[in-house]
Amino acid sequence: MTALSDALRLIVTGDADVWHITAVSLFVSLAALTLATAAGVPLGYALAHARGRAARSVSSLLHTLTALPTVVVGLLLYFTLSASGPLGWMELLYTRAAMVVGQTVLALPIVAALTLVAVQRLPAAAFETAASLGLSPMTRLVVLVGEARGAIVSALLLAFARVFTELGAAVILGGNIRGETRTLTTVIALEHTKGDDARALALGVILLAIALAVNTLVHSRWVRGAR
Amino acid sequence: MILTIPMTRFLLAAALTVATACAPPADTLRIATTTSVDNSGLLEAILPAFTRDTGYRVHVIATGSGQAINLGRRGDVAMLITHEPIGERALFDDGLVRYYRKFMFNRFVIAGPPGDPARVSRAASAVDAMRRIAAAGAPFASRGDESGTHVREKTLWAAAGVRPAGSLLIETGQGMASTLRVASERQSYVLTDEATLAQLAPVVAIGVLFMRDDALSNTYAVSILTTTRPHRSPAAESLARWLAEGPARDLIAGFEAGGRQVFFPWPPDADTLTPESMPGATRQ
Repeated sequence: MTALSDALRLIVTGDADVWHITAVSLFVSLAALTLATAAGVPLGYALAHARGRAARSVSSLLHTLTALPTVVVGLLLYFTLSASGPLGWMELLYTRAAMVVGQTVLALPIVAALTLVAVQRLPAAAFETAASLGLSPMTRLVVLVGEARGAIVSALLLAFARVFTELGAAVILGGNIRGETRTLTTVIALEHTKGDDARALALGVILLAIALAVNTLVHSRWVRGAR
Repeated sequence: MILTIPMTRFLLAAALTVATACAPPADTLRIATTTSVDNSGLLEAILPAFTRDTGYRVHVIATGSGQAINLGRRGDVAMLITHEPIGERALFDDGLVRYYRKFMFNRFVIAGPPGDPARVSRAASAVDAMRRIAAAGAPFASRGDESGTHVREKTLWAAAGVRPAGSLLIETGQGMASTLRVASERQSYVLTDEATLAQLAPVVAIGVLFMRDDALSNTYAVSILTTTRPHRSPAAESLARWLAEGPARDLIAGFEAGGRQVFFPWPPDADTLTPESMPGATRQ
């Protein structure tokens, strides 16, 4: 209960640090989700139509990658983005951009794999209608993805929840730099380490509240309504 | 699959936009520091003055000295604050050091349960204290993370010629504060820097039992390595000199944690250039 009142006080008093940290968390996760959606939805859609062994391998690979451990993604990208790694010249390590890259890698398999399932499960009539109208491939994608929007929005929600609440990749790639790459999850871990459990819990309440609110709002607006 | 080609182009464009929006600007300096210096609030207290004086903004990665040195070797940070003389010496041996100064010090202390079952408070030296802990079969919480504190602990065990047996050595693999919490929960002994213990004192049930020995001097050094990118060097040198030779000395002396001074500026007459140098026994 004290955690709850501390959290409310942090929100009400408008602690500048907390606002900034929350904004960074949302920016990184939403940017990653946007990139993952732009790539993952078309990829899942294309795979739903593709035949043959290669397509099946890619599909099962995507399903496997949905279980990628966040800390492994963080570590592999760390070696890639480090100054002595292949992409070191970009100077991306310990920036928000690096965190966006990491979270995109985490979100992409979820979006693509679940889009694939969603499109596959559309009734045959939807495909026949789309084909009979003689639509361009792009328009057909928009129409069929629109038909499956309930399941796809649900996939996006899942992907958002995964990246918004993860710590492993965020702390390795962002470095928890105050005012730059400090997010809700990395600051919670830090405050606990520093011994300020009250603040850690209060920040935890904020993280939880945002995750729940986004889920509830989007679910009631898009997922349930789309059936 | 045709659709993924324009998508790839879009993704690249989007990624580049995000990258340029997020890459650190030229007036930004990224440093790695041992956790005690950052978690105690010291950097937060003194760095705004540096930014005001020079215009350089500082991004701080707080981590163990072992990883900080590793980040320096890889060129991922422009400057290091460490308290690990052995690892710092290795940087010299590898010819990687461009600037090095000892700039402040405090003490390691041996903390433990108030009952002190191993009678550490009566030890004649730090090494004797470690022997007493091992002989009493008391548990000892170790960082186990190649941090400066962990390296010092291993040096003391080696000098003592003993180590706690098996499960009596609790390796946390975490930072100093987390390790102090574990030590408190398990009522074990622990080697810690005094700043972090002072800060955690309200939430842990362990206290200082032994501190009077030069072997427990905790010395902090600032270094710039040859791996530092040329365009980051001016900022790095500016901060290093500000810390070691500039106005930071007074700010460090004036900084308090838990109501008392926890870091001491390096004595002007003591050697600043070698990792093994000590501030001098009289000042402990």
